[in-house]
Amino acid sequence: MKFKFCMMIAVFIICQVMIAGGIPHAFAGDVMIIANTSVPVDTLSPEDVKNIFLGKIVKWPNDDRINIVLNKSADTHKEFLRKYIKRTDSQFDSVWRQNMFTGQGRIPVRKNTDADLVSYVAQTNGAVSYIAADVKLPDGVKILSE
Amino acid sequence: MIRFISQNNHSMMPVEVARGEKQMNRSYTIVIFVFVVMVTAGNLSARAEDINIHGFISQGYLKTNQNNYLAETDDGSFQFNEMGINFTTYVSDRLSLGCQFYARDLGDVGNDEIVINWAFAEFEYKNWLRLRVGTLKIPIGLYNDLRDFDCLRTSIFLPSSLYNEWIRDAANSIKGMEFFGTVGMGKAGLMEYQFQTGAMRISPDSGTSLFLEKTHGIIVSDIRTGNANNMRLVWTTPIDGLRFCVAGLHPDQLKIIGTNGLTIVNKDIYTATFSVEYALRNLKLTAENWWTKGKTVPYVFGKPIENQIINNDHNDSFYVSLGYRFTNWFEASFYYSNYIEFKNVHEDSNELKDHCLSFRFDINPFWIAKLEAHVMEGEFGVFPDNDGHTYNEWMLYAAKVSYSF
Repeated sequence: MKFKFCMMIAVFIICQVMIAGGIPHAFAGDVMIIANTSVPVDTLSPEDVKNIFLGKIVKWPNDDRINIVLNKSADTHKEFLRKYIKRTDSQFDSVWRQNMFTGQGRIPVRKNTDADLVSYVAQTNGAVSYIAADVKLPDGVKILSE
Repeated sequence: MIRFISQNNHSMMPVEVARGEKQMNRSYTIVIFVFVVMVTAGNLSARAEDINIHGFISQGYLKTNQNNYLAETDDGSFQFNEMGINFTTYVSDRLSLGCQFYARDLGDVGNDEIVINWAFAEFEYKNWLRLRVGTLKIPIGLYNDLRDFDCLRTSIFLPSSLYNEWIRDAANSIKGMEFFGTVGMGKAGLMEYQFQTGAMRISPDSGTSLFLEKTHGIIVSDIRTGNANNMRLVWTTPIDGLRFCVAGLHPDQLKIIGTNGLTIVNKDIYTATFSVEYALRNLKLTAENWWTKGKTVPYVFGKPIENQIINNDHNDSFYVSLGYRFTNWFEASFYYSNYIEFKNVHEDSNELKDHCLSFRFDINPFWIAKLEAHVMEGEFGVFPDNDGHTYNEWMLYAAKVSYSF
């Protein structure tokens, strides 16, 4: 029995050593947090951003509902997770799957392009998202954190 | 508290043929229904953006080298599947509605019968005060309310020391109400609370009943449960990735009524779990402890059996786990789980030690495959193999494929 137990641990460690090289690295660009101008705050701390995007905070201070918009641009999303959420993509995805399968909170909207994303945020009350820092923003969108 | 005592003189019972055929037809209907919804879900979402539809379906295989465990695993068993579909929508800025239909099969348990897994109306007043009414998941430990969703974890089975498969339906949900919310504590982090009250639901056809039949020889005709008061606090600390959880469950008495005049009453039941989880990038460490106490009084035709009354009966079980995400498609975990049931201070304890190694493969965002091996020591919840023998040291192998959307 002890031999089998040791074998299982050994397999686990070997797998880790063999595959650890495949962990992705962060990209060099920066992201900023943006929101619809109806949002009643002008800045968000990194901790606020994390709690909002993990679904722990669901309302703005004026009790309007927070509408989360995810950016499907891979580099921007990775940098956002690295800088604010401090979770891997799979861990972040798992949090929202938890919410999805337990009926908790509104499921985030996902946008494929920067243009679609800023347009949606500009038109949606309570919307908050993140985008590459060099993207020009239209009216109706404000920066909460850079 | 329901006490389980392993006895080795009961073999796995075959499902009645007629009942099996009926359930087979029903399960085909469910599968077809789930797949039709899966195919059309994208179109539905496009037309009605405010209605979220999600679902999952999984099929597994279980095999033991000795003993039977949860199903007829000595020969290998495919009677191991789950499926569910949920609908959620906001009807106003503060009010949301949601419902999930769920079915599973695990040996003789579940048999793909559709149940309402959760269904509630939720009123969001503030971040720190939200109210739910309806059929609610019971918050035991960090993961009880998530255990039906295979895609949310690395392992196929959660550690049995806290998340016992036999009594899963008893610990699944209550009908009632709960207050919950999050409270920011500044530099001290964030506190999530949940206070819940309602009526427990344990069906005479549940896994709990089947297990009592197979272990105690009591043919369960009814299980009467009172209300339960449950709570959970989760403290997300300022240390990134570190959180603590304490949860409590206090049901009124459970009365298990048998057809042969035997009734078992569990009362003065208090259950608590203590948990710690640390997630640092690809690494996740978890430890949870489950403690419960209560009093068991058996009756025969209404009269207590004085010499079998057990006071201050208690369990104290735990597990520790280590998980690591190696790539975006491969994850592995290991846990050691130790279930210890003290019948009372004068008798031997009933134990099950489980060393589990799991591999998870994310084929794409929708499909997941898992492989798992358990090295087991103990006979809690174990039944004799097909030759009528029970072994203290044995192995369980499991494989599972899941689809979720």
